[in-house]
Amino acid sequence: MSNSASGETLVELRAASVAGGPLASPATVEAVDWAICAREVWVVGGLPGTGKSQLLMAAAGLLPLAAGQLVWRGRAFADMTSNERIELRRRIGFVFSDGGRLFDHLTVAQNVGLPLTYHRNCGWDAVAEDVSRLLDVLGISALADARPRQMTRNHRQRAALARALALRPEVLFLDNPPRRAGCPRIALAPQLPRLLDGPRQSLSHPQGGGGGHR
Amino acid sequence: MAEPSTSSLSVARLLRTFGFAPRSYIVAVGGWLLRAIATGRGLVAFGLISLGVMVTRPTASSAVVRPLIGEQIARAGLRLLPMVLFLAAALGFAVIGQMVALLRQVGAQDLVGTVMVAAVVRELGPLVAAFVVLLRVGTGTVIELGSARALGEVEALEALGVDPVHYLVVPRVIGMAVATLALTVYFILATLCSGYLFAFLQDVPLTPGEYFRQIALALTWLDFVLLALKAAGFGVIIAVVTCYQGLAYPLQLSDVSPTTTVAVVASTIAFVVLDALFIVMYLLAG
Repeated sequence: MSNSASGETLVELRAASVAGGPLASPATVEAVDWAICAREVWVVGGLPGTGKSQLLMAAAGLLPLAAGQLVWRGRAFADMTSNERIELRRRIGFVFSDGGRLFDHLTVAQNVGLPLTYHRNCGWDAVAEDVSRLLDVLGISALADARPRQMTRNHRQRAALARALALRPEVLFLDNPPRRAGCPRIALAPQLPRLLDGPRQSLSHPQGGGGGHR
Repeated sequence: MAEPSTSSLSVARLLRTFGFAPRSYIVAVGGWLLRAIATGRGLVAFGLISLGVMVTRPTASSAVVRPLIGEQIARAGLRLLPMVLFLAAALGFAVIGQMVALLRQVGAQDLVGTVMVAAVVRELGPLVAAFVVLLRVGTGTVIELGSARALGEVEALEALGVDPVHYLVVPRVIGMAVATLALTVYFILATLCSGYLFAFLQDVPLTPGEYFRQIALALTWLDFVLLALKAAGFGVIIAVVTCYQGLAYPLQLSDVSPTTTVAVVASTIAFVVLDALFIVMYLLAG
């Protein structure tokens, strides 16, 4: 697909079917054509259990497609080597729902710093400044040394967002984005590009009718 | 279709009379065999993938992976040292000391070194150390990684561009290999010392110098090489089997116990196979 008016096409699903779990299970989302371009914000809505999270995970290359194709900047995901896939995943951030799947054996700061230390091949001290900045942006600096299990779900979700943003992804998928007090959870979306040099994003939202909306 | 012969029918009837149901046993054994083959194939594939990651990315993210290896060595080696030393003392007193006394009674005290090397250095040392690591750390690894998989932490690592095999499996493989080798060495030294202590308490006229001289004479360079390979091999087996069982499928609470049992059984079978290979090597070498 050529570039849209919004910008270059980054992620594209072509006739994609996504299964709920193992590939043998019936597809919960079928024949989806979806192109995510630079600087676009998408909201994926649907009733609970209709496969929104699976669709986002498939678009991020984390869940194998039951049918169809995932394409990143015109290159089929299936044709990529394992090293190329790892490189690709650095450019796609993903925030999981239900507490963001933080690692319980690490502190919040270490959770956020893990992708930085791993990909830069450096110690915790070398990434402390970046981690501190991210935690500050997300308003959880005071919890830097806390363990995820000691935090509320909302704070865990924020820490997961900080972790996903640490590598400055080009596309950001938010599965049930963090809620801010008194605001609908979608309210955080417009702030992200301004806060973090404009990563493009998609959000899964549990309310509203089915389908994606630009 | 041909009718079954009268003799085969009577055999089946006879077996049923004594409570055997041939078809169900064949199905059960066949099912078990197919599952065992599938598990073996999965283990070999998982081991090769882990080896591939170790070979192709030996220094990648070393700042993160090295501390993890250190943690595994501490966990599977240092923390198990007291337990291994206790077992070594018990085994030295119970078995080795008696063996020394018996050899003296039959006038074969010159064979003490040879028997010690064959029994303790080649066989007991690596096996006991491996079983301690398997039971104390391997079983925990299955539960730990199974929980991580069930909680979606593996997908979370992938989402960060962190290779789960590189981050979760490689440190365990290297750590457990090093730890098992180190524990084996300590176990052997402690067993030989406690064995001599027991023999000394039994008034066996064998000086420490003579005892250790005989052991040193019975040892060859091949013993050191094969001992290192065997002990490290046991450690690799424990890590690969337990990581595979933990990561292969997301575990529910009810799966933890049977999966851990499968990991212990699979590791034990793999120990026996590897041990048999090393016995063949010893025999071929002379």
